[in-house]
Amino acid sequence: MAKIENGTVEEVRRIVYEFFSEECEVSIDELKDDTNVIKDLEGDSLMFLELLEIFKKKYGLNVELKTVGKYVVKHPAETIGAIIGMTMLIIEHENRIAELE
Amino acid sequence: MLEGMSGDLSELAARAASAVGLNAERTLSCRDGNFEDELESQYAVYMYSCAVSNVLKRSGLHGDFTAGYSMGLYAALCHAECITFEQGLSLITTAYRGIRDVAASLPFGIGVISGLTREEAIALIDGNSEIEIINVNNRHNLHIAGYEKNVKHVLSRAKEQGAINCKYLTFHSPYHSRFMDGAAEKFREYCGTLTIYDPVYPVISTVDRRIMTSWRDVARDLVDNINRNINWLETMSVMIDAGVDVFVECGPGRSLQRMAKFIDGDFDVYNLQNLRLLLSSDRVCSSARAMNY
Repeated sequence: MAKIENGTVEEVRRIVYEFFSEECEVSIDELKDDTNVIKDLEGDSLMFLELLEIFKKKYGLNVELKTVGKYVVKHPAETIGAIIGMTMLIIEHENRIAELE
Repeated sequence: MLEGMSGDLSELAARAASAVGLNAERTLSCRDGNFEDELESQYAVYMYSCAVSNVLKRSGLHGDFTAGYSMGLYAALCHAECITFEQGLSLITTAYRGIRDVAASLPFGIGVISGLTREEAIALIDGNSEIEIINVNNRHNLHIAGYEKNVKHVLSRAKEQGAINCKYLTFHSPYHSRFMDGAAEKFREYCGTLTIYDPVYPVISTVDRRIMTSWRDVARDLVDNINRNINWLETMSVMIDAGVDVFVECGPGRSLQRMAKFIDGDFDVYNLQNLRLLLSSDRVCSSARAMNY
């Protein structure tokens, strides 16, 4: 289980916002926590996979894609805010995210 | 848009209007790419790709290899000067009609799975010969095709196994599968009537990753592309292993650039939007740059 340090949430938030701004060619000022990645930004699952790879590398996470996939089925994350929240859970729990209800 | 690109598109659209009756004005005005007609969509993507190809050639940018993603094969062959622009249109028309005729008679479907590897997808299919992995895009993304009920069943199981996303696609023609054997036979007959030239750049087959340098290779691959599985991941890997570190995506959008993020190797993918960066960099040795010195 990874330790969440001071500033991690802000760092994750910044990375997620910058990522979707660049990938979807939208000004970062236009993005909000309730922006729907699929409907509002025409994003897709490859973007989510890419973001996951970024965080796996950045924080040295031990988490399998399939474990995250099983969690996503139960807890879909379609908005930027929900993706930030889920990323924090992945960082905190890694593969044990599957055990969360 | 790079210099001359809009002129290329207009000229190619006029030629397409003459060759296959394309409504050039309507096609060119559809900026979002959401065509109601699948054939018109294929013409538009082909024209766009050929226009980018023209820009590349005018810039003096010579590729070491070329490859076509799915129906992008026709643009790749036009770029490699195996076929003319008009022949490409004709091939697209013939392939589309043949595939549509076969697909219309049975309830086929195509699905995309993100988040599982090819091996994991094979395990899910578990020897069911009624379904095929028709393309592996990268290490996390692949397409399956078969009868609708089988495709939906595998997508459902993939989701249970932890796929990040599974989607049943809205088009129903199972390209690149054995279900298209009948269409491939008719297409072979048509290809036999064409004059196909040796490629000026080696073309990589997405079917079996052969490096094609003769018209005979190309003629065979045209037919194989209809009814045999393709593998974009391995196609890219062949080029990367050969030392390619710069790719240019000629089609509209940047789907191949995004897919490539999950393909191993040290390389960059450019498209029309950032091609100027490539052309002004020291990563290319082109006649255009040479003339500037």
